[in-house]
Amino acid sequence: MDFDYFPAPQHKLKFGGLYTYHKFTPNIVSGSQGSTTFDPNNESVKFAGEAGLYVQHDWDISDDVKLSSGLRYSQFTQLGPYTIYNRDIDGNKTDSTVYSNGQPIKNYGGLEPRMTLRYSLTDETSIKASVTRNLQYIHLVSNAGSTLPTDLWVPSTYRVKPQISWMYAAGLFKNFKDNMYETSLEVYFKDMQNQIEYKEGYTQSLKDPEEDFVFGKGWSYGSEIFINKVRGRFTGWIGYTLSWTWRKFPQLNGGEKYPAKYDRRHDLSVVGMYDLNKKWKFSAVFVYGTGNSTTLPERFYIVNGVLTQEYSKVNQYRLPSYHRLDLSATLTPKQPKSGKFTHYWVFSIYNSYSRMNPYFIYFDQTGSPFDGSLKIDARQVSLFPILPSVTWNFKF
Amino acid sequence: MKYLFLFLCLLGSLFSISQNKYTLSGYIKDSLSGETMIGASISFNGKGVTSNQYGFYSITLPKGSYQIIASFAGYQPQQISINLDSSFQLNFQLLQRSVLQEVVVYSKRRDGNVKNAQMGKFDLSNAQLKSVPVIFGEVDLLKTLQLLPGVRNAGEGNTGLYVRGGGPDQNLILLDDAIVYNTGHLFGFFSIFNSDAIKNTSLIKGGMPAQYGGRLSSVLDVSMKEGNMKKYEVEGGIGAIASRLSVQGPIKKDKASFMVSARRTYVDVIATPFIPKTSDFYGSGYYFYDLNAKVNYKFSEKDRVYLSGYFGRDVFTFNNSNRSFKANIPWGNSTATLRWNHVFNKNCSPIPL
Repeated sequence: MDFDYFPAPQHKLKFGGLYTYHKFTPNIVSGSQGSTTFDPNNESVKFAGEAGLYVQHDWDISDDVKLSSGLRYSQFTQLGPYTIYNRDIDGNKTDSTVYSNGQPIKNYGGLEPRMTLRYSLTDETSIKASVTRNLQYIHLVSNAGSTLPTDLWVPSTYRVKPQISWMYAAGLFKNFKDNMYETSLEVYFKDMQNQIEYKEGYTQSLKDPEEDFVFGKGWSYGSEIFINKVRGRFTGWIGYTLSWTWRKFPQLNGGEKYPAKYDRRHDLSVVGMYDLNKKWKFSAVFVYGTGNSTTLPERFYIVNGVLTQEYSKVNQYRLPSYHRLDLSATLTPKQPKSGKFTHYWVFSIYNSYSRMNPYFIYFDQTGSPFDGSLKIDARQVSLFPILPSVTWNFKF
Repeated sequence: MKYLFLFLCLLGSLFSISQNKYTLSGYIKDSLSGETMIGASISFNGKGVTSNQYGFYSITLPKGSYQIIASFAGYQPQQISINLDSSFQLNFQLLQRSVLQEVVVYSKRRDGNVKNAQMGKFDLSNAQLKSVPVIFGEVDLLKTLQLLPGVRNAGEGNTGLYVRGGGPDQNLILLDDAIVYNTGHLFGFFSIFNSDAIKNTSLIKGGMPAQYGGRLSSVLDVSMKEGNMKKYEVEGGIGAIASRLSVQGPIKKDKASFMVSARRTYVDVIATPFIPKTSDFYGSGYYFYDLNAKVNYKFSEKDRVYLSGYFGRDVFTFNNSNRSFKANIPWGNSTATLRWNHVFNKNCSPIPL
């Protein structure tokens, strides 16, 4: 429920609240191999309630200064029915606490202040600064680096604490040529508490995955440059980001900080769109990014005839950098004056110079360790080479 | 909450009356389709406000004469002289400049970048979204957003957003106010957002306003088209791996409208003839389909009800006769939103339930 309230042109007030009831049912995958059917009937269904109340106030203090401030209070409760099992060192269930329907198990809550201040230096230049605190009560815990169905949404529970972040940002904003060009330079620092990862050497099991989580913190900082041309026959933008993203978990990487998987030092995007005439429009996108960080085996041993790997520190290595150029042309044939049927063709080329961008690296083992013919090769998997395509669009 | 709100409204009106102030409010719409316009600017004597998420604006001013200008990039601005001696409703219907100029439609105040007290915000209109080249020729909202500074992906073709060092779960993704948990179709190569059904998108990567919460990194607010209030419209596309079809139009002219948009990929249909029946993998296949729908009804100038929904399914079957392995991974997403906007008082609005 939200309310907008405009008491005076200098003030804008917005307030409201919301409540969400969550039900989490992990494990939706079923399968069969031979006569064995894998269809887990998961017992770790969880329930929770989430509530939030907020006030947001935009205030033009003077012509030069504008303040946007807000306060949010959020609350999250893990609710029954649920059974907590205590386990001994060997992982056997010793005793349990049973919670009935709707009975609160664990309660979290907190204030989230938000503030952004703008100060106009001239009519086309301003500086802004912001501070925000955010709480997050439900989490996506990922085993792989991509959004696969193996990733799991989990609530905060008596074991899993809410994620908390503080973000500080400041920026310089300037427009040129009657707002035809928008430019900005922003810097930020973000601190994230109670981050979640799977523990080292995690393999999927029928246990509640919560028992295999480890907790730590993360922080990131960087700067972003953005130049955007918004009007004219040629439009588009250039975005460049220089950033660092770190994670530190007591139980991972020997407690030392390590770069997050999506830590990317340099990231550049160039987008251009050009209207040649009523018939043809062209556009192009170029992207460049530092490769993802990754953990690779550093040493190979043969123990009793079995090849064993010793891994590097977490995310010590970088995949080769990623770059790609996409091109597109739109052809709008002359439309007949009568009738409202219009159509156009879009021709596009993805990855136009067919760069073999790394998706992941694996080690391939050929031969046998016994006759000395064992060979280990690092192989790179790339997904998409050059991909041309045509789309026909219509409207009437 | 409701009482507090009424009280504030009352307070507001008392305040207005005692100071001889009056309120001008109303909606800003596209003159051809009747679609409300988000972030249009309403200015008077060099100052101004912008219309909210539902195309509604409200200004309280002392008694007097004013030149009110309503504008939105890509549209003809409209200027009206008024003599403000009572509170009243003033709706604007703006005319699009020309169809070709649609590419440069820029859906916010022209100097918003500098003047707003909001950082790290980017607005993307449907026309802009459609002019950026993408893989397989399929327009994809999330992949276009990944071209912004501070936003990146996890790998080739992946639609997950990693904003300023945050994970893909740290984004609050709203489709017509409903939270979307899984934004990708299976394997993450395609996002669930069908560009034909989207009206406006805004991404906030920092300085999140207090109405948003529950996520650490960013807010992605996507609004679906409401449907043309004046005439029927069919739109579609046939691509290399997917096709789309949307229909929108009035149910009752200027009162109620609908929008339905559907999409299906057919990699499986194309690939099946190339997989011999004797193959180990015969019977394996993958496709997804999704459907966006929205209806809205205007009871009166003060009340409007919206019902919108998204439904998507991924069907992935993997057969390996050799190892007699068979897997079925159902994967899907659905959202539904019912919203009622009511203008209580000219400067209190709207109230979605």
